[in-house]
Amino acid sequence: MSKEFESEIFTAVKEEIERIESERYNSKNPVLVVTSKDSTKDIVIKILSAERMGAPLKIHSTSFNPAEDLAKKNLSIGKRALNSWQFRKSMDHLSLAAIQTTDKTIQQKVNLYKQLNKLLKAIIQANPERAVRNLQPIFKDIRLSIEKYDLFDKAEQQHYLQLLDLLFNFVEALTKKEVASLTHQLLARCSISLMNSEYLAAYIWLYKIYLLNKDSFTTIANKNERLKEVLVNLKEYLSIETGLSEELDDSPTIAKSGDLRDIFIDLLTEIYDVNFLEKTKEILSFPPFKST
Amino acid sequence: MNEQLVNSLAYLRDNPKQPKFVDFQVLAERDRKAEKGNYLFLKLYEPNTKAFLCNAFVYPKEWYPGRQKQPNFSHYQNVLRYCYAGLLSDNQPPELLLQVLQAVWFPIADATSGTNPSNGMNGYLIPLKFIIAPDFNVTGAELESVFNCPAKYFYESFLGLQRSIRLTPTSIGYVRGNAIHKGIQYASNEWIRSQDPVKAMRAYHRAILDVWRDNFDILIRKSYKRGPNKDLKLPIQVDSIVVDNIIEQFEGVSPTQLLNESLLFSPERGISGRADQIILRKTFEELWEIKTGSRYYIESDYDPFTGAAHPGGMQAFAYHDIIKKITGRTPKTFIEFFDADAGLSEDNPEIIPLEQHAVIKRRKINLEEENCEEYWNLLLQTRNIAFAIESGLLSGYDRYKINRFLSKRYMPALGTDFNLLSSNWFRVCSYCPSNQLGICADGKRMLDPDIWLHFPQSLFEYWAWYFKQLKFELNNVKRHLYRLATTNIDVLEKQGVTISNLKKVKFDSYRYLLTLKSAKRIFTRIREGDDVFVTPTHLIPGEIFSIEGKVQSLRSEEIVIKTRSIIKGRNQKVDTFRVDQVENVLFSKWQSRSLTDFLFGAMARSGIQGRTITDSELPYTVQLLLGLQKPKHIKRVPRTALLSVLDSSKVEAIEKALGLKAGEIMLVQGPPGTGKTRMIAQMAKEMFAEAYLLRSQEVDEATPLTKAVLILANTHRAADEVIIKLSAFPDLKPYIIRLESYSKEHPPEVQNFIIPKIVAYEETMGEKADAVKLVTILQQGNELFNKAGIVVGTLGSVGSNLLKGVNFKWIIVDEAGQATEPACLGAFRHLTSKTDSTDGYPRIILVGDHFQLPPVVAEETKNYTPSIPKSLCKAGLIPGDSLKTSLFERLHRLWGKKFGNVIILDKQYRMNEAICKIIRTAFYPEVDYQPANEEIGKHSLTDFLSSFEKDLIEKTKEEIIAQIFNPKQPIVFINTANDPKAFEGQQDVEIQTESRFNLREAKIAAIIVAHFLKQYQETAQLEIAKQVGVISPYRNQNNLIYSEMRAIGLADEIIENIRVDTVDRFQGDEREIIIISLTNSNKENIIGQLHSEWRRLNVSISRAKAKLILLGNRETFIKPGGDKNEIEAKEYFRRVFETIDALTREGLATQIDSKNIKT
Repeated sequence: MSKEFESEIFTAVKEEIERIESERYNSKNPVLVVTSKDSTKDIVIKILSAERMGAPLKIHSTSFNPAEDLAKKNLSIGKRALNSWQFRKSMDHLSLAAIQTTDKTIQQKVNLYKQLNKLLKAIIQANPERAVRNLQPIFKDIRLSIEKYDLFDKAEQQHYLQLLDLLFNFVEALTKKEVASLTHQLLARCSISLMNSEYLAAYIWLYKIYLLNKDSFTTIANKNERLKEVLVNLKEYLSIETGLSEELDDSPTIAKSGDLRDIFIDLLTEIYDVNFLEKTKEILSFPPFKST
Repeated sequence: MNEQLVNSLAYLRDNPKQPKFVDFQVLAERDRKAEKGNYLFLKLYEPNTKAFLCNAFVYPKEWYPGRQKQPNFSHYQNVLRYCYAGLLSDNQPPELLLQVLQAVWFPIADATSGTNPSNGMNGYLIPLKFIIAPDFNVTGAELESVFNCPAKYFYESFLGLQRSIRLTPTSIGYVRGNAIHKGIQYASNEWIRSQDPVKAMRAYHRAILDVWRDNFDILIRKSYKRGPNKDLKLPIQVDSIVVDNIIEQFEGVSPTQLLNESLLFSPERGISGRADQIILRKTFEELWEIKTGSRYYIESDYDPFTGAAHPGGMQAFAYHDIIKKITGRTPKTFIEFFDADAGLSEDNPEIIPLEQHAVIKRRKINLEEENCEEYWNLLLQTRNIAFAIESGLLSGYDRYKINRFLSKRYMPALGTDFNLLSSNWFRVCSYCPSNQLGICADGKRMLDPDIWLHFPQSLFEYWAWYFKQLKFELNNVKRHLYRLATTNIDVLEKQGVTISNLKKVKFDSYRYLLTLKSAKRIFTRIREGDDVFVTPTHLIPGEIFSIEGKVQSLRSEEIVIKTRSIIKGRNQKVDTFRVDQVENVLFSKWQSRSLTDFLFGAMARSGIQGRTITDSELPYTVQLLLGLQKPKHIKRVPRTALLSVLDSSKVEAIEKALGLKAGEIMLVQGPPGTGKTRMIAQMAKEMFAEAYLLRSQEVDEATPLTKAVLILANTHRAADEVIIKLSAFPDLKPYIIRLESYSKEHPPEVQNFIIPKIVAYEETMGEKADAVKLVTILQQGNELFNKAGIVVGTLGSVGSNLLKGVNFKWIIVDEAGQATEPACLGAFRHLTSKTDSTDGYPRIILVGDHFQLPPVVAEETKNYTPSIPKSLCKAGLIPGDSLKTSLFERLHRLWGKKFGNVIILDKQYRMNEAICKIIRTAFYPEVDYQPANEEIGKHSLTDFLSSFEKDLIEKTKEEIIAQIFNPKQPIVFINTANDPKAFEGQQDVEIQTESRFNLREAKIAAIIVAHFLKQYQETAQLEIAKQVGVISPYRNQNNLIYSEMRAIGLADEIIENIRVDTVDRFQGDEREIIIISLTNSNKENIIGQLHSEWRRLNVSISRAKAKLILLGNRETFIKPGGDKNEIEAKEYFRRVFETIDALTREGLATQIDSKNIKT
């Protein structure tokens, strides 16, 4: 393709976009129609403009959304990012999917996942004491919403409602200060901090996990000198790093926060007799519905 | 060219390549074709003369050649670009006024293009900081709102979205704040006037009592089981603190040195507002902004050092800048914060000097510094974003764009510096309507954040079509203050919005009545009841020192204004004033709120969420309104017993109304005199009975506040009429409420239905505010309200607190033909709590007549009307329709007689047969419009005058008068076509609608009335005069008729009893004798804009019961001439004249040549 031709196409696309923008500005929703009379160049221009603007496109009489595949992809990324607690990334992709799709089922899925995103983030950040009180309205909203997702079949609605029930049980456990639940919440927070390269914060969450499970940790540490040392060093490290310790001693040697988290996960797995990270992920995630 | 502009440009030229702070205004036209990079290319012109000045470039992030360090954020270019893009998309010229505050000048040697050497401007300008469109007025409160959360501002201010009025009544905190505000105002005025602390305290309590009374609708919605709450107690608790503070604060301040709630406006900043208090002393010394509230719910910024939240900083900052701009002096500015949670403590109220306020401290702004970058950035970013959002230029009606902008509350696409927005935004969510609806992508609650992508196109276009027109009207109002401030006074006077050279005659300081006199005759659009500014002639209206008021009376040379304050400052000695009409945004605002509520309500009630819904998935009522569904057959609920008191068409209407199902709509068309109001009263009674019967069978515990009927009228007068008719049913009285917090202007029989009046608030409370006593009264009021089953109000009162959370089974809209469609949609705002079903909609009955006066819409708005989208053609809209087309008219057109849900009342109870025939033939040829009985059909002047026969002095010897008032001929047409003296005159003003007059017609009208009345004794004259009405569409002509009646020697008390008025004000009224002066009489056969609306003719004629005297030039009104509207109207005039001809042949009318009448 020559440079001139390329420039010609992009100028024409720009003009077409301006036309669409102007019509939309005046509340219309223009549909681009490809007919058999259109030249290849016209078709290219229309398809490009439709994709850029998320505008409906009709080829002859068949509706076609050139961005639909992108929407599906973004929804899928959004879901995955949510289940790995990357809330911002997840929301950005879901928002993109919302603009790109014209498929009503996908629209409702995007909407649901946006809600779940908000919910999960709120649960992980919740103050345990006020968790039930503060989060109950969100649960209520989502439950009512699921009933209004009319394109989900009953089994799918049921699937998400059950997930919400499980999650609500977890929130209740937080408010009741059940140690395991609080630990799951802290482990999730620690993992998020690590993802954001907030290492000091990750150490703090780990230390809080230790404080929560102090008796069990101490019992194990009593048998394991190295672990004992790690815990002492962690405390000392935090007091120096946070400036709480007035003496400016050299920081003790300490495992990297990622490694320390793995050590803690092993310990927690031993204490609770369950793969603790997996369990946390299982509780604080939304496996998508799979139709049988 | 104005001096400021010349000096500023010279200053920039003298300091080339250096950014300098300036302050001048230019008109900037964008030239896109000349843009080759990421800059905006502008051509700058002098705003008034449009003389070219120079070219300009606006770069991103305030860049200019040679700039070393750019700010991280800068909104200027981004927002300006969006505004120009908006103009482009809207096909408007790419021109905007810019107030340039910082710029750099580059001489020609550095210029890349464009110069204008002829004016010596060899170079180009790079504006860095500027205000976009200072001609668009943004209030201080709006700035505060946009600062707190731009997304909330978008939802509330642009869209008019409100927290659902279906749910929670307004918090009493609002009343508390108001009470303290007003208390300070009253007490400070009183202290300064009398220097008496006891009187000041009394004034403070009077203010609390007034505020409680005026907000009774808010107060009675609480239960007060534990006695008065802190919101009621706080204003009383702080009374001595307030008065002591006032005594201290206003030491040595005279009455003219204190400005309370004074209007401030700067045409250079495009910001206005009402500062709570300005203390002048010698100069502008102090500025006080008073805030009340709970510290935990402050919607403003956190102090960066302590984390404490401070209220109202942005607002005070804006007023501070306006005063600085207007006066050149820096006032000491304070925010006085009454914390409702702190109760009585030493630091309550807290006085926060502006420089210590969180908003200012966080941005490290030095208020004293001449040109502080952050000072301008904060003010200008807030102002420009507010403009871009509010004007609609940012998003237009592009839902994709709106969705994108609202994806983050701070709208990052604008390039905003987030540090210049409130850091306390999360609290704002609690009050945000978008959060309540769950549609904000960044809010606490999330239900459907992409709702903008989910509206069906038909619904969205319906909303946008009406919304655009309302917005156009609102935007015009937003530019009004600037127009007043910057347009030559002569031009304004010609347009009829200003009256100049008025001399102060007197000022009644007790009633605040200012009388002004003009040396010449007053021609104006200003009318009684209009809001105006009174400003000393040498000052700019609205800027400062304008007194706000309402026109009390307006005569040919005198105007009396009820002002809100006394004349302030040194201007009290000035005796020449100007009066300017102020446009009110409220009317368009509540209409746009109803419209937007309908849009979101329709989505919520579809029962579907999170996806695009189709037309067929919309609620049934919405589909009906959009023409997507046909109305269903209505099963009548028999009420045959009513046939003994009502005619059959009314009974049919009532039976069908009772048979409506939830969400169904019915129309009742009532041509003139058919007794619509009487029918509404009976209908309401039957509905009330029906609802009570139903209630006894199925009590809905979940919605205890379900009431039977809500009657909404277009005007207070019509609502009062309904009340009067309803009061004819004594058993119903305890169950009727008139929706009005308090007003003295209602007829006494109506006042008995206004809650504060019923519970004798004024009498019980006395002079001292007492929260315990108040609670007792409120509980009585609450009981009354709970018991009520019929609520009557205006369409404008749909937001009343008395209606919040209350459901109605039926809603009747009276005068629906006179209400715009968005106004009518207000009726749909009161729905049951079943939010997601059609069952949630009430049964709606629209009563009106689209052949009588249509909705009042500004002429500019009518001309603006956008083209009708295809989807709305299904809804019955046709080319030529506008905001002036009522919902009633549209649905009548759409449904006609096809579905049996349009009932036409055909028996009239006013006119005799001859007058009725004119109306039937000319306006209702398809309706069997007849007098209801023989007595009415044969009613003549003899019946009316028989009781006055004993007072007859002597029958007139004037043959022509005898002929005119011959009782056997109910119609008289006095033709002036052959009368050379009867040509109209016109004042040399642009207000065509007011300027026409016809002296000869005025004289004839006056002489006819005078000679007729003089046959009777004086007491009888007074009574008969009450049944005489003179109608012309022109105010000017009416004034002339009044003065001719005076000139002819009719006594003033008799003239006062004769109603001489415009048609528009006559609707709803009737008289035995009606004289119509058509006024227009010219060889060009132009009948003018007012007559082009042929419905006026219908209303004028149909006011007459026994005698109709039509006075005018037949030729002018039937011969070709004028535009297409005139041609359409002339067809109706032709039909009227032809019917008069036929009646003449039947001996029921007489036609007289006006030449034969001596004056």
